Amino acid sequence: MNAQFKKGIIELCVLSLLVEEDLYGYAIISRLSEFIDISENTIYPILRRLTLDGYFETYLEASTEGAPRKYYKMTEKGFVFYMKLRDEWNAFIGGVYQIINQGGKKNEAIFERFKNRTQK
Amino acid sequence: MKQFLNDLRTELKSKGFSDFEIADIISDHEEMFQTAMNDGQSVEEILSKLGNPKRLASDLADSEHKTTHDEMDSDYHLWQSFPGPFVALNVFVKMINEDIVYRRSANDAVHILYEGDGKVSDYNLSLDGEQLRLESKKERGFFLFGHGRILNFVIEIPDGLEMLEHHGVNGDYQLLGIKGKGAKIVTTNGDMQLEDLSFDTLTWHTVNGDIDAKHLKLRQLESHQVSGDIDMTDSEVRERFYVHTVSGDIDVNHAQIGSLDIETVSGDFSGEECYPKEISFRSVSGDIDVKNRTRTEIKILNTRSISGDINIDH
Repeated sequence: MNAQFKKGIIELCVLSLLVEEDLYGYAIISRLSEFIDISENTIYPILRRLTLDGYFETYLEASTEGAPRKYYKMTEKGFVFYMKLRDEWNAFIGGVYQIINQGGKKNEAIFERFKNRTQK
Repeated sequence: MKQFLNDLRTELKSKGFSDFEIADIISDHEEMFQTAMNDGQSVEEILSKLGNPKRLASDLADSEHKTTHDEMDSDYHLWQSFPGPFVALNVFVKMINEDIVYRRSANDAVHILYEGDGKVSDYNLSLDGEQLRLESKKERGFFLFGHGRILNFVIEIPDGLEMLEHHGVNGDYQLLGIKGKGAKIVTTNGDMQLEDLSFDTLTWHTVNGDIDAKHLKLRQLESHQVSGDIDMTDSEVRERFYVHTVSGDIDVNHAQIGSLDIETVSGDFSGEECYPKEISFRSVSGDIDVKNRTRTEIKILNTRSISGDINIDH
């Protein structure tokens, strides 16, 4: 998949995690990697840029295993950005979904129709 | 892990990240690496999730070193250039509602650019020796009645700056990539964005304006404000960092400060990864909170708050 496109989606995924709870860096990365293949993209630069842009704040909190961890927390500005991005994404993906499934979802049916249309 | 961090440091350096940024990025990765190892993950697994140092550095550079000049310049027209070189340039600017961007000149000349629906004839611009003046001819009262046709300016400053003095009322200001001996900014409501500055002394007076600063290298910083907030990251104030505020909050992250001296009524100071050698904090109800990952010696002088909390890791 196009790297730039995927980056935008990962950004939305990161925002979706942080809208629910404050998380530390590694937790964000491993949470994402449970669901999607992140080997082609780096997550940390996205986290850092969203923080520099004021969408997240960070704070340190002691952990049970030694050094304190940096937690990321969504700001109000981040929330507004998230809602906008999510709406855009929903509108976009809704349209895509309609187009790719206009003839139904079943592969067999699509194959059947294609065969009938091309083998006259 | 050592190898990873060393490689990352080298890559970041070659991409032009500052020492502060590098220290920040490295300590974040140290933490993430450590957390993953405590989770029992193998080094290969961790690397596949974090990315390799080269990739990381180039992705970081791509997402942060954006140049905004090009987009902005399409609206601006060059008004006048004053050829240099200068050895002790003094820049004096007096404005009302205009937005001003001060940035580094690409050569040794001063360039003045403008945009907006005002007229250049409403402004006086002159260079006398090494004294540059740009002033609005209009009185403040005129604007209070709402005739708001103004220009916004970009002032490009070359090396050899002695003093930059700016007076404004409402405009927003950006100072980007300039170095010089001194700068003084006086404004009522304008917000300020300061980035990549290197000055011996920097002073600002503001009533409501907020200040957003990063990558400052200063000997002394003096800030007087009533309710504006200060947000500063990745910066260095070698000697005194003095703030006088009534209710503005001050947030300092990743900084090195010689002597931190704060007088406030109700404003809070919060510092994370900021390492003042000494602190003096006088307040009525403001809190001070200093959190550092590495413990350092901090001398605490004359620190009291009547009803605020004092919390300093040292």
